[in-house]
Amino acid sequence: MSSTTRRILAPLFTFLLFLVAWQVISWGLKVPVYLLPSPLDIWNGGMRLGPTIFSNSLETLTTILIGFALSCAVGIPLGVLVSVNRVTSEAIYPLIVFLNAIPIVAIAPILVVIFGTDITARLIIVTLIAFFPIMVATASGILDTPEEMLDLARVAGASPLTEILTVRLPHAVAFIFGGLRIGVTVAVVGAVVAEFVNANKGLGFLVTSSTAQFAIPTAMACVVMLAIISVLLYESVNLVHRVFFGWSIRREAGH
Amino acid sequence: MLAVSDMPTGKNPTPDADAAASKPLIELSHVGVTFPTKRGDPVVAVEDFNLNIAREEIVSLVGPSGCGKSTVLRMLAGLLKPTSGDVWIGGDPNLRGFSEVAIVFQRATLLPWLTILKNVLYPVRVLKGRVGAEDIARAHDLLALVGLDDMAERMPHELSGGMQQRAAIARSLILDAKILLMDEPFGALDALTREDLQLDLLDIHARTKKTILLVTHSINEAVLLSDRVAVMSARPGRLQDLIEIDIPKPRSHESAALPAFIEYSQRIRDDIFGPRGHRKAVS
Repeated sequence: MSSTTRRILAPLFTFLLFLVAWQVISWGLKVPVYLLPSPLDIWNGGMRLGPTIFSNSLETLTTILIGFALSCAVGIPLGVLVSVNRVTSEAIYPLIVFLNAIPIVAIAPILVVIFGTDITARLIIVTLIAFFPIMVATASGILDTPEEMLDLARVAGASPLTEILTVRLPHAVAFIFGGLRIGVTVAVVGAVVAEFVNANKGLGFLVTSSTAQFAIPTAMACVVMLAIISVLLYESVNLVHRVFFGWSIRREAGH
Repeated sequence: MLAVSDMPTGKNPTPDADAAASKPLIELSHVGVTFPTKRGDPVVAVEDFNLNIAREEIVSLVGPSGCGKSTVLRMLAGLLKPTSGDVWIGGDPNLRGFSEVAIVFQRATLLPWLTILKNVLYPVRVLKGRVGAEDIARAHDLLALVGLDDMAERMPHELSGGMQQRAAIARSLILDAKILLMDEPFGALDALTREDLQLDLLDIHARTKKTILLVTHSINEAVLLSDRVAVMSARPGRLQDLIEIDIPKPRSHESAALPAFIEYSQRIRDDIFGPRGHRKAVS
């Protein structure tokens, strides 16, 4: 067996074994469905929703993706700002740390009151939770730039902006993707929290509404869907990293 | 060829050029560099340093660690301002940047996200904001000069340390700067690659007539490559001795067997270690 097939088949096998064990234990111990549904119950719960689960997934995915894009648009420039200049860093860092310290679950209902029940409040919630790891990672990457590379840029006569664009940011790419990997997974959490407090569609909404009706298998099916979305997004970030910024992975692996 | 200045080059000497050449290209007069420290007492890195370097000359700076060799180099590169004294390049105290002064570091410092060709073109991109067809042609010529013409589209990590340093040398030549500053350029390479590149540098100098200031730890390298060797003493860094190396050119590693070569090496060693140097090295 080649190492590639093994890398795909081995975890798949473990996963199937886990599902089978769960199913067998559910049957054996006769666990009530409303306490812990078995994998087959969850499957049936999902099937009962039918295409609804996909339209709601799409709704949640939209919130995640737009919110994540906003997080990048906010987090990366902020990461640059707090790392290149001491004055900007001292001026804005405390505010950013304060914003990040706000418990997102606590502020979510307030945001809904302020911004109403449309997507705006949800996007703000996702961005608030996901920009921070992206910002911190960008800042670490910018600060990690080797001194010799900066010397090279300076001797070449680079302005501070050119230096950031041609040396610091490219160097920070490996770090930024580290932040994006964390950011995209917390964006999923943010989207679900947002839908808990304010939505009439989306997977987060389905989870709360199904639970309220004791339709636990349906709620679990939505949770499984969320997990799948989270994994797919994480892997997509990895894929973009590998395909477009392959050099930064090689360098990370190191000499 | 990129015209970066109206000064005559060394390739077609004219009476005017001779007159210009008699004036030193680099003048360091009474230069001092002091670094403030957090504990209070400032550190004097270089004190009352005087050195003139003529056009097309190769001058080496040697001396013990911490003698301020690299400080002098960084000052000429414009990365550092002297605390006192004057630094003149080409009669102008403000000439800076790759178009006038190019630098080669101990490590190749190629940008890992750019191909070799784009690394060589990096100073052009910074200076002009865009890269023209003639720049690309020139970059290919330079890569050929350092023996890397077939590596243009490779990424830096695919090249050996010696090849990376060759690419860095090509990059330092891209804007046709008159002055090449080299900060222990071969220090990180293995001995064989180092010898190879030393001869390449002599060859490049013969072809391009650059003025080269070389910082090195290797006495042998200094004698082999230089027209003059400046020996610095440590703490504070001062010019201790300035030795004219009168060994016929073209030189090769066989030159190292000449009695004169050995005498020059011994004199530098005595300068650095003092009379005790014959028996015991002072760290």
